[in-house]
Amino acid sequence: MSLENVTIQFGPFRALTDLSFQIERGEILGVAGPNGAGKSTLMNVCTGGLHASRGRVLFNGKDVTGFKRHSRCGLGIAQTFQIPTLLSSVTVGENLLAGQMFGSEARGSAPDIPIQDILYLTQLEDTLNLPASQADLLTRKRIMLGAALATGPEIIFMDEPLGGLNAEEIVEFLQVIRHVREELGITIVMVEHKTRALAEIADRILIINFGEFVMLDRPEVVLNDDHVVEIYLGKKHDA
Amino acid sequence: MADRSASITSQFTGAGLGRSSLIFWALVGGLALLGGLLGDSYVRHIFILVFIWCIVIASWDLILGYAGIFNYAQLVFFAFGAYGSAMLSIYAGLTPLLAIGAAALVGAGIGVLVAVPSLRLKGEYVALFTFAVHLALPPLIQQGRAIGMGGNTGLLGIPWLNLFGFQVSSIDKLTWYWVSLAFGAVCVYLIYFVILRGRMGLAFIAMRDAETFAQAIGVNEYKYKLLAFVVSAVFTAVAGGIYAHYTSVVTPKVLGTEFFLMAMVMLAIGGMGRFPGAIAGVFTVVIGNELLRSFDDYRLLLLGVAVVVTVIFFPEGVAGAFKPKPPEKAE
Repeated sequence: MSLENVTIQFGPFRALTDLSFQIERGEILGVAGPNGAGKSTLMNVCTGGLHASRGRVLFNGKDVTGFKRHSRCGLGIAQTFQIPTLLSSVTVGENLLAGQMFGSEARGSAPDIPIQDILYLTQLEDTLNLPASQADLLTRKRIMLGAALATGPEIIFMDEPLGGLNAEEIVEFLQVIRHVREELGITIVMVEHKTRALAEIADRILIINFGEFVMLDRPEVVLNDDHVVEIYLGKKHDA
Repeated sequence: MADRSASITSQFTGAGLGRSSLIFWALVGGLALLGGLLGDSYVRHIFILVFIWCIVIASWDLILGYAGIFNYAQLVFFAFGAYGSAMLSIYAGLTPLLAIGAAALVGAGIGVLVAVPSLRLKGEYVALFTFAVHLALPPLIQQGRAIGMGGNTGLLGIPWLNLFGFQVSSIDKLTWYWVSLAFGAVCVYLIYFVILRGRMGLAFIAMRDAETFAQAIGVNEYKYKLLAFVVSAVFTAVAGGIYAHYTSVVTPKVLGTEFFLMAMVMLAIGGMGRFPGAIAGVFTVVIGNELLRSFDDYRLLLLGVAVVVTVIFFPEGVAGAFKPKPPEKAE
């Protein structure tokens, strides 16, 4: 997927300014930046929650700028949210079923990821009949990821997938995300505040600030960059 | 990753449908027998109303309880069904059964008309708009005198139902009992067992529980919300048609506050979005309302108290009270 000069304007306020970059197939791309940098807006532009005021969003060479969420889902663009709001009145299995059912409807053919693989990756096999409302946070995140996978995506945008998890759970969920990429070859874009975890898992990290592109490079380069450190921590004082 | 062909079994893929259908039709059969046993024609009349209400409330439950769309124009669909069927059989000479079918089409059209503006609105604004449609209709019907809607007095002398050459008069309560039971049972079955337990039902629940997430996993919100309006309106219009031919009178009173409040009370007491809550609500409220008739002026007060008690102690309605308790969380 690539963005070309994407600008998002809310009235007088510019949430994203002239943003261009490319997401490589099969990579894990981390997106970071201070609060209000425009990370969530960026996610929404990519997944169809918002439409660019100017510029284009391309996916597999196709201009998807004006596509809505469900149409983008049909093209293979999936998404998980910061707060895992699920189909809470049905079972875990039915959440996945919904992904499979409407994913196929949106794309017009059955998704090519077998449900067994999804269950294996997300480790939801034993909880299929549990009401989704009774699942704990980590399980909810697994369910949300599982339903997204059931739509048969090529790329998944994850908004703060590690938010609210404790250290142990973070390790566990990072492993799940890693497996999704390794086993299924799905491209992953994740917005995350936990920079250390992001550096550990991401192939590249994109930093944005005030809706503008700052840099996009390997984690060790990005996190040692003076300008990036300054954005996060403020200017160094010379003694 | 052994069994690659395995899929998820769920009520939305038809699991358990045979068994629950069997129970449903057994109950309907029981009600059919009951009709023969009940000697009193007034009691039969009450049950006829129950069966017609069941269609309306099930349709409302579909859009409000399952799809989570705050539609308050349900009785508008009912009124169009009743007036449509009545006028088609009076003026166009359609045989009532056919007129009811045509009323369903009218209902579908009205469903689309109400849906299109509603779909541009969010949440509570849908409630405001649809209720405004409801409030705007009685004056329109009065103006409709010019096209034969009968104004305030309504339409009188609506033809009796003609079942394969057999005229069913409004006095023939036993036949009407079975006719309305048949219509009610088929509609309720289609709504709860076919539509809501299929793809459409899962889409509705998805939009209600998690709107954005639903879109993200491919639910076409516009399509399914439009469908919710249309399906709900079609069934409600059928109920309106049956009602018109049963009572042989339709007046703008079908849009009156009492009808509307009764419908709300049925849903509140029964519980929305969980079969058979709404249906239980219809039986409870209509029959309860009759039992309370001897209390005269206090009847409405008692109904009000019943609603308050239900809302406080059983916020999910009668159906919620029977919900299995969640198991203790294993640590």
